[in-house]
Amino acid sequence: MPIFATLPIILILILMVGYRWGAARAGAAGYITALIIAIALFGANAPLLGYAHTKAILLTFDVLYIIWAAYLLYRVSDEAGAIEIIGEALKQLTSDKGMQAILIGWVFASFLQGTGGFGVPVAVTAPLLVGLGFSPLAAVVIPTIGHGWAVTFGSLGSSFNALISATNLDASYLSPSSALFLGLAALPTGLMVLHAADGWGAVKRLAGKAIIIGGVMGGVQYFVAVNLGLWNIGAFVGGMAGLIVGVAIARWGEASSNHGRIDAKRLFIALSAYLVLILFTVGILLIPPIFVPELKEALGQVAIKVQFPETVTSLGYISPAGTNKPIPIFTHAGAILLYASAAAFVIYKRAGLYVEGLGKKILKQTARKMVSSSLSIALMVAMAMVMQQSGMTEALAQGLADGVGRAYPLAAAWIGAIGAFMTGSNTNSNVVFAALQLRTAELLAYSVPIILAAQTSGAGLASVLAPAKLIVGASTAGMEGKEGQVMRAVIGYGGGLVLFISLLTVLAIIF
Amino acid sequence: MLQSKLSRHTLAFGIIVIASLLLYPVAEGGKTPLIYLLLILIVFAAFITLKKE
Repeated sequence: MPIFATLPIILILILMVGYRWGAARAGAAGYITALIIAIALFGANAPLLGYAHTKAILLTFDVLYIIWAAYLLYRVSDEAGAIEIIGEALKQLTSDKGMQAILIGWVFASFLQGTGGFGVPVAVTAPLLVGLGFSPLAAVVIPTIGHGWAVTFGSLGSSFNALISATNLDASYLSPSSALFLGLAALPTGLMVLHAADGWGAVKRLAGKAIIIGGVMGGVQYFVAVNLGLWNIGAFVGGMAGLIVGVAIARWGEASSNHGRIDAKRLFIALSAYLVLILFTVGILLIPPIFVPELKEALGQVAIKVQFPETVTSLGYISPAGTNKPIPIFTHAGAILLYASAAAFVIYKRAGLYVEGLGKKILKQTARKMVSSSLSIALMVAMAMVMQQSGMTEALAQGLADGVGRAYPLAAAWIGAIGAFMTGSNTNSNVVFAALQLRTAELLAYSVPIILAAQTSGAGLASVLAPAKLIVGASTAGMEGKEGQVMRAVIGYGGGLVLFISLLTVLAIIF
Repeated sequence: MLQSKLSRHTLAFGIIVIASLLLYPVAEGGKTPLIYLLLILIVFAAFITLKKE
């Protein structure tokens, strides 16, 4: 039975990697396969499938709320030229190749991943690096490796939110291990960026500075996600802290000698979308409004919460009764992003950075861009939920537990990595595999937060290597048709980072 | 309408959302034929997603 349960996942892997299908088409094929197997071999009945699909669409909405709003915020600031202004300011800071790679390909790329993702980190920073004299290959490789550690707590929390939703576990339970693993992964990432930029010489010359910057970014991400509970802005604030420290090191270190003048007012306006986001996040999630605390409580009560009954397959597999993870409409991370987008739009418009009629264009572009990825998520989630409710995930988990056994901690990160590599998305990997990893950890009596940290960390670090992502990055640096070359250049670094997480998982389990 | 990928994906996404939401009250009511009808619609949406340009 476990072998049949693996078929939908193996099919997606073959279609995306072997036949280069997009995520939506591969997701559709995986979903249809899962549905047929669930009915034919696992005894799924009509009411069970009905409830599974409703659960799936609620989970899909929970995930898409952030993705749509995060992309909207990105469009609002990109149309104002804000992203370009921030990038140009960074270029003027240092002439040292290693330091440029660190600031633009690692720190700025991580900041962009924190605010948006969607291939933006490489798409924005690769051309900047080409402009600084890096080869097109290096210009793609550097930010590709550089932003992987920020994926899970980036995109304003969408991937981590998917982990929470797929497992129905609390953020405070999951975040410490995940933030620790990814914060530690930031350190070797910085050294790999230096190596890709200027060889071992750059590593020897700037390792100390890279470790300081990596420590700051990883540490701040941990503090924000775990101690403050603001996991939706973990990578964003971590990236911002990295920018501040990195800029300070570049301006006052011996690496910089000819840094140009930066228009502080222009830069401040460019950053205002993200400053507003921090204000809204802190204001809504951390500090109750001073005058109307009842309003905050009332807003939090407006939530989508649906009660589901127990379902049983004809083979006797029981899914217990319960509710979906409540979706608070007005205090959701997606809602905060919408508020920030609206405020940023007003600020940029008043600063004269927009042409007439841009509002409609931004909304239309957001909708057009998001349709295909929304569909792929909806199909992958539907597949995952059908597999879960029919007992296929349980069969897979049991098969894994029996097959891999005590070596499972070594494998967990690679399972997440495979899921992200084949779907191009940390979010999709979490949606498809998190429940499986949770169940396997429970069967083998391993720490659930640690195994799920391995899942999401492996997925985040490997998602940047996915063929679809590499195609986007390669095209922005003039490497169209040479994606194979890019893949060969990054696969060693990416594999090394997943191995790092794999070993961290074993150490965490032992100690 | 089904010629362009954007149109197909928009239609497919719309069908999946509406059918999935309708499945809840239909499942609560125990109307098995309707459940299968809505599932067929979702499968149809998946098939139109499979179509290559």
